Amino acid sequence: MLAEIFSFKKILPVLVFFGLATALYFNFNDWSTYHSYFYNMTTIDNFSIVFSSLLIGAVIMWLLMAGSYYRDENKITDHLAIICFALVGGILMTSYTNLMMLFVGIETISISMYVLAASDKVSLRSNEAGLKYFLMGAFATGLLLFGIALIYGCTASFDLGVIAGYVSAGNLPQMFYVGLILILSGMFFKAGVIPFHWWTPDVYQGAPTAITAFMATVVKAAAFASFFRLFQMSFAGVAGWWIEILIIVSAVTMIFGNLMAVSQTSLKRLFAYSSIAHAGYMLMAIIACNDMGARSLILYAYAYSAASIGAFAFLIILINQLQTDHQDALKGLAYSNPLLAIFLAVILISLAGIPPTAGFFAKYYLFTTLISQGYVGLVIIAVLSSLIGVYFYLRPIIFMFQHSNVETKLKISQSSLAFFALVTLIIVILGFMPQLIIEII
Amino acid sequence: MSVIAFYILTVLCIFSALMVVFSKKPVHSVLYTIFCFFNIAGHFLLLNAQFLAIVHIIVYAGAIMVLFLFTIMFLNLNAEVEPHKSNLLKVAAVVCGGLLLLILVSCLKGAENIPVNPMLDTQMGMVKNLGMVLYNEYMLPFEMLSILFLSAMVGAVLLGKKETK
Repeated sequence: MLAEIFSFKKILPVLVFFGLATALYFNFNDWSTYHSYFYNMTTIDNFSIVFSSLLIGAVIMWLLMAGSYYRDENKITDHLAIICFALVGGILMTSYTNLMMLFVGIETISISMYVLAASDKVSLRSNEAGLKYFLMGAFATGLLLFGIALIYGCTASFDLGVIAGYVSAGNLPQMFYVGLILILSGMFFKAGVIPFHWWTPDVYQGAPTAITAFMATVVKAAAFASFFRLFQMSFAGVAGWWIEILIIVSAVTMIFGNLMAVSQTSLKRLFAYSSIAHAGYMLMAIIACNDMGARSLILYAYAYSAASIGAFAFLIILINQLQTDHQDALKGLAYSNPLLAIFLAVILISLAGIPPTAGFFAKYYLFTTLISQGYVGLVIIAVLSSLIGVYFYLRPIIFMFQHSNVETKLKISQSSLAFFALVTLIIVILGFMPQLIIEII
Repeated sequence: MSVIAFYILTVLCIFSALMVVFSKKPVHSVLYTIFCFFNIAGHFLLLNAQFLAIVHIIVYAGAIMVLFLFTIMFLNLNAEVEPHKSNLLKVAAVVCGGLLLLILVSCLKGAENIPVNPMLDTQMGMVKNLGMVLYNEYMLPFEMLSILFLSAMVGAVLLGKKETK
């Protein structure tokens, strides 16, 4: 915004890029220091550093990708400003130790998203997405806030450590459990899992594709980081009580998300339902609720973010050039753009969770974590539902290798090809060396 | 004395809140909402929270309600053009809301057993004490809220700007 006044428009993305890179550097400077700041409002530990690096890294990737999307548009300045505010909210959500900070972080990221979802003002669908997201999100925020208020009523503190002490002292009143349920509902909405998932397909489809990519990576990762932090740090003492809810919710989410994705022909909607399914898998990491769970959540979030930012980058190019995201548009892509087709295939394979990619090892590590804790039934459901997932992720690949009368020919610049190569490289490196991420904390 | 004031305020508050839902004309609903907010401000006063009471009146009853009234008059809503919802939807909504009410009431029934923190300062709601807490302990959330509002403001400008195409 400020830059717009000085007509810095051209160099603004570069400026933001270097700002983010500096932030990333300072982020790693705090490695293994465990400081808490501002009367224990936020605590920087390795979990929060890894997740804020993921968020900053995802925004950097998003910037590289969105450059092509915004090339001929004026509004990049406002959008970048809001994206940066959303990033601040996301980083608060990964490093809070106080429910107040959690709430402020969630609100910052949500309000930025409501605006960005509606930012394509000419498109009716984008307006619908923004309004729908706003109304439902406001309601979910109300539930979350009411839950926080009830918990505060019991414990007389917003501090996660004090709440954990209260929980371990035992003899909890009814009010505490209701507060917990309401907080759970609010977090379920923000993470987009089953009973509160209805906004996801419409909002993902209606919002401009670049914004959808941001939602699927940064917002999702931040939501799960805060979810995990909250339940591990303060509610681990009553784990027996909420784990049953999470088991049912995660099983239903995986099955439903994958089943609904099968019948979709619009690729954007397909990725929306697949994001619901992936949210179900990430919930399993919260069920584990220990350091192994934290590691598998981190690996999963990295793998999923890398793959989905690549997938959405492809969708941006497809929609920009052909004005459609129907899966038939992919026909013959492997012959007209062989290199792009290979990159896209790797991305889809990683989302499906097939070996040498990051997606497979993320799922593998997650499932072994859960089995070592004895949740065999849940893992069986997860494996079966990811088999359904394999079907609809491989279908676009089959389409790419089919000949058709109307050959799709996409014009790809060198820089976007380099971007896809980078994404593919990250996926493959994480696939061969998952210990890079797993052993980091 | 304050008990009588509490009951009067509560009855008025619940009455006006119900009227918000049941009155046919949107403008009446808004006026009842303002009335309800004044009653809640009265509750804050009874709890010795002057600052909250004043802010509640200025921000909610003042600013936000004027905005609501303006929007409703702008949209020119009235009882005739209001879309009718099917009965099934109404029943479902009542059942869901009723269940939530039941759970909340049942959980608050046990609330009187929770010991009140004796360390709590009764002068906490005074402007001076509130300011001290806000700028010491809650400094970071306070500052971060400004980012939230900045983001909302930029968003409003972005959505309000004319499309150049």
